[in-house]
Parts: sequence; structure tokens; C-alpha cells
Amino acid sequence: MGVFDEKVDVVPRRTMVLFFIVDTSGSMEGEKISSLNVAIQETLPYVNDISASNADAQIKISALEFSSGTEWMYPQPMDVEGFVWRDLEAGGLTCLGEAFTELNDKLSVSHGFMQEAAGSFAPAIILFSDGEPTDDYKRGLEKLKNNQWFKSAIKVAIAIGDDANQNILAEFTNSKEAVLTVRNKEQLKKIIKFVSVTASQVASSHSSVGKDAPETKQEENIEKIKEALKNDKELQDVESGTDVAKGTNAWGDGW
Amino acid sequence: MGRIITFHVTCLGASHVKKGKPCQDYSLSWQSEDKTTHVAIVCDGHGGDTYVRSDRGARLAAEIALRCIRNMVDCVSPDSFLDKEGAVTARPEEEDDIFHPLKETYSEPLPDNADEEDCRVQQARQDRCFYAAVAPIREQDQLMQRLFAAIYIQWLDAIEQDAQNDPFTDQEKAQLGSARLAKAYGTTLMAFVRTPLYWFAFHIGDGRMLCCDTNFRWREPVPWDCNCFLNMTTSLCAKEPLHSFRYAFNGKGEFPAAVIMGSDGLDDSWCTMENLTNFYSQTLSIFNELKEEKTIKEMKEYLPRLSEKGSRDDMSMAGIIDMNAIAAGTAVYQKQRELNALLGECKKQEERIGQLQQSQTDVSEAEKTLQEAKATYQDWQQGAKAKKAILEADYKQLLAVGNQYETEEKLLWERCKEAYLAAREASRKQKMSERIASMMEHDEEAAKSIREAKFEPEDKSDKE
Repeated sequence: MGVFDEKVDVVPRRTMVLFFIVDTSGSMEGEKISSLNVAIQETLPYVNDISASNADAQIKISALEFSSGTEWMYPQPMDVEGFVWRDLEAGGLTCLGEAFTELNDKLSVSHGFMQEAAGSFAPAIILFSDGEPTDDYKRGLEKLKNNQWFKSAIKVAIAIGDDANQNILAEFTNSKEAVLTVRNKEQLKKIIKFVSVTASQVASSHSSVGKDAPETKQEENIEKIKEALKNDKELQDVESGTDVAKGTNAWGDGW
Repeated sequence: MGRIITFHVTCLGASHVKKGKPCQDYSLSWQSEDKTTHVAIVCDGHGGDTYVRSDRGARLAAEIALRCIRNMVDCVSPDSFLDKEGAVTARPEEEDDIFHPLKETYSEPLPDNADEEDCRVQQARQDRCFYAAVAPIREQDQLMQRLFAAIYIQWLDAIEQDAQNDPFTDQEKAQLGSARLAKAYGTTLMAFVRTPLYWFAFHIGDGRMLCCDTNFRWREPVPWDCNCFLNMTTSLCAKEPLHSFRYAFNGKGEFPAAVIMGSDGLDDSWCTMENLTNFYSQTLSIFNELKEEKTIKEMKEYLPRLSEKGSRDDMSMAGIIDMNAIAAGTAVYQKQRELNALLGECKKQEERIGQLQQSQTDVSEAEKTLQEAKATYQDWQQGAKAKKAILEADYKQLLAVGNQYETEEKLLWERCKEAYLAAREASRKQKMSERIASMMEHDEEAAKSIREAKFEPEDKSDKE
């Protein structure tokens, strides 16, 4: 130990916020929402392990539900260690545009959830939806797409069943390959764990890139998704992209 | 002017050690033989897989920048900077010809309610700042642009030469893919130059350049570029890097007490500007205490540990320090630290008092609530007593009614029973009489035998 160790303050950890944006419209009622609740609860310990074992990054969680309106689960992002997932209930419309506007407001240092850029990693944002937006989503998305935090973020969308509009979800992720379609609760559980853990790992790692490759973390995350869908037997039935064939949809029959 | 020193330290990042990657940072410092001109430079080669030779790109950029800077200082008259100052951010992209008159002047201000996180708003604000800053210093702007162009062109030549002298391996080619050669060597660059009459500084990419006055008040001499955000940075390997150079100069005799430049591995470790400037103040205090040689030795040992605990990235620090100026600053800083510590302790104690007061308030409120509850209870108790008496009287009355009913019911039942028993007895006697009569009527023989046997029952009914 030298003079610097004695005289210099302790190094803080940078923060990465993992956002869950959850459609809680009426069509999510029943096993869809209950499976999602259980799956996220079961995933949080794995995300906590990533945070605990990463000397440089501290992972925080934030959850936004949207139906006829929007509501944050907690007023500020919380450390994953102390985060308790409150079971969401479904009912109402699908105001996706309002959710985009709300997310844009919070992706801000002065009046939102973000901290100084030097102390932050790009956030990871996971969107869940099973249907069509019932409001004008384009306006909210337009604002969101010009938000510098959103541009840098890792974005993944989970389409729950074939009724979800994969094209709109791809507009959100800016990549068709980051849209994943699941058709039963087992697939949903597995993909939630995989996506949450992978996005947290990629988002909380350090790399410096040139301006010509603005979404490298997003691309890195997509590469990991592609690899997993190809090689992980548990995820082989999950489909990526927007041109997915209609499959056996357990949710279509009321699940 | 006091005793000016320059320093530079670069260390391999913890993650690079683990992955077996080379150090992609490069730093250098230089002073003229007469010790009147000082230069410090930091370059940070990019870390992505595509940037396979960014360590070489960083070294070449630093060496070429030093050569070009020395040439400029030798060739350009100090008159170009005397009594002038400027601080110019990155050039707008629409300014496609950096050596010709500017296109736009932006007269309309941006609305106050514009979204601060919107990239378009940030870029528009930055462009306005550029035009406002560059307008009064066109001559110096041309000088700086020539310097940047010289650095860039020579860097391109150097990396091409490097690729020829040491051709890319198959693995390097695979990693670079279809990207341009310059990408393999991608790096940031920042430099600070101090001459006896003026100073100038320039920067492309991320990392932080900070300078302080004699009281250790820190500021960024070169304006920031909004295109450097999180892990995105401008770079010498971009298609149009000359737009991304930003710079500052001062020929008014306003020299910083110290300037320190750090690669992004360093400022990422400290998270906030406040933490980073605090670290730099502590560094200057150590310089003041241990002097340059020992401080640099300590710094070389400390930075790898900082990388391990912090960003895990390569780390570079370079700077120019007026040792006489920081002596006073160190004393101020130490007092400020003590004051901050005292204020911190005061705040803690105040918070403790506040908590206790809150507890006291809570207790008082609980006491008040208790008293109110007691009073309410007493009022209620009076009413309850009266209600109890009424309820008891009602109860007794109803109980008596019930008892009376039960007694009456019992009497009724007993009468009913008596009537039943009487009826039953009468019926039995009737039946017995009828039976005896029948026996007497139909069994004369038996009656005779009885009489003959001189057995005559005195009371037939009892025998029966």
C-alpha cells in the first residue's frame, strides 16, 4: 500500500439500470401475467449475482407497467439486492406510446433515473407485450429514439404470443433480431432469465468504441441472443425476428 | 513563473491483464531543453475487437502530435495568440470545408423547454456554441485546423507505413473484417501545450482534461463534445475526424496552476466530476509533499490497483504542474478538506439530532395520542357503563320472560303428562276388565276349578 492508497478516497461503483417495461393490458390477464411475475422474481437472484461479483458495476432495477396508463413500481431504481418484485395485475388498454413517453422522461439526469454519464453504464431495457398499441405510439417512440441514453441502451422486446405486433417491437429495439417471440409459459420463463442475465452482463461490462459503431453493446447482446437460440436447447423454440411463422400458441386458447 | 514540471504515467488495465490484451493507452510528456515549453499528451486506443492495433495507433498519434506541436511552436509567432483567448467545441458536420468561411450563424435561440437528453437538441446547442466561439478568433482557428490536419495526415501515413512494414496477421484481418485500415488503429488524442507566452490545448474523443487555479478550483479548458457519451467517442479513425477536434488557447497570461489529463479508464473509475477533481487535488497534494520523482513512482504502483477496483481499463495520466503554484493550493485544499470533514461531521451530528428530535416528536405525539385515547376511553366508558346497566336490565328482564316461559311450558308439560298417564291407566284398567270379563265369560270351567280348589283370589287386580 502506498501514499495514494492512504490519501485517496475510496473508488465508487458505476451504475447500470435494468428496465422492465411490462404490458399489463387486459389481454395479459391470467397465466401470462402470473408467469411473467414468477419468472422475473426467479431471475432477480441471478442478476444480483452479476451485480455482486462485478467490482465496477452496481445493477439497479426499475419496472414500468402500462395498460390504460403507466405506473412505475417504485419511484426510483432500486439496488437489485433489495428489489422486491410486486406482482403485477392485468386489465385495461395497451398505451404503449404513453409508456415510451414515460420512459423517455426517466432517461434523464436532471429529472429522471440516470446519473452522471461518467458514473453510468448504458441501461438495458426489456419490453414485454402481447398485443397492438391502442394509442399513438409513434410520437413517444420518436422522442425516445433521440434520447441519448436510449440510443446507447441495450434493447430487447419479448412478444408474448402471436398477437403481439413484432414490427412495432422491432422499431423499439431498432433491430428485428432483438425481438423474441414466446408462445407458452415455459418459454417465457426461460427467455426472461436468459435476456435479463445476458443484457445485465453485456451492459455492465466496459468497452470503448468508435462513433461509427454506435450500438456495439446492442450488437454484442444480439450476437449472444443469436448464439443462444442456436445452441441452447432450452431456447430453441423461441423465435427471433418479425417474420416468425404462427406457431402453437398456448396463450391463444386462453392458456 | 514557478518551477514547471511535466509527468506521464500509463498502466495496463486489469481486464487487459486478464484477457492478455496489450495496453492500448499511450501517454508522453516533454519539455524543451531550456525548460520553457512543456507538452503533455494522452491517447486512448479503442478497446473493441475491430481495433486490433489501437495500441500502435495511440502511440503513433502521441508521437506525431508532439512532433507537430513542436513544429507549430517553433514556426508560429507568439503574436498569433498574444492577448487573445478562445475555447471552441467540435465543428458542425455541415461545415464540410474547414478552411473556408463558415456557413451558418444560427440566429434563432433554442427554446428553454427543449429536451436536454435529446441528441438533436444537444447537437444544435453545441453548434451554436461553436459559431459563437469561433467568430472572433478566425485567425487562430485556421492555425489550429492546420495543426490538426497535419497530425491527422501524418498519422494516416504512419499507420499505412506500419501496416506495410508489419502486415496484418490472418487473425487481425479477421477481426478488422471489412472495416477501413484506420479503424484498426483507432484512438483518441488530447494534448496540452504551455509556452512562456501562451498555452493551447486540443482534444478529440473521450477522457478528461482538467486544469486548476492556485486554489485547486478545477475546470475543463477545452469544451466537451456531445458526441462523446458513455462508451461512444469521437476518434482519429472516424471518416471526418478533423471536425471532431476541439480546442482552447490563452495568450493573456492566465496559466493554470496545473493541468492533468486522464484517459477514460480513469474518469470512469471516479464516476463523477466531483470525485475526479477531488482525486486530482489529492494527486497535486502528494506532488507537493513528495515531489515529482517519488510521486510518479507511487502513481505507477497505484494506478493498476485503481484499475482493478475501478473501471478495469487501461489508465493514463499526464500533466503539467507549476510546483510553486500548487504549494499554496495544497494548503488551501488541506484546509478545505478539513473544513469539508468538519462540515460533514456537523451534518452527521445535525442529522443525528434531527433523528432524535424526530424520535422525541414521535414520543410526544404518541403521548398525546395516548392521552387523547384515554380521554376518549373515559368518555366512552361513561356511556358504556350506562349502556351496560341498560343492557343488563334488558337482559334480566328478557331472562325472566324466558324463565317464565320455561316454567309455564313445564307446567303445561306436566299437565299434559298427568293427563296422558291418567288416560293410559284408565285405558289399561279398561282393557284388563274387558279381559277378565272375557275370561269369566268364556272359561266357566276354569272358574269352577278355581272355586273347587277353594282358591278364590281376594283382589283380582293385584294378582293380575
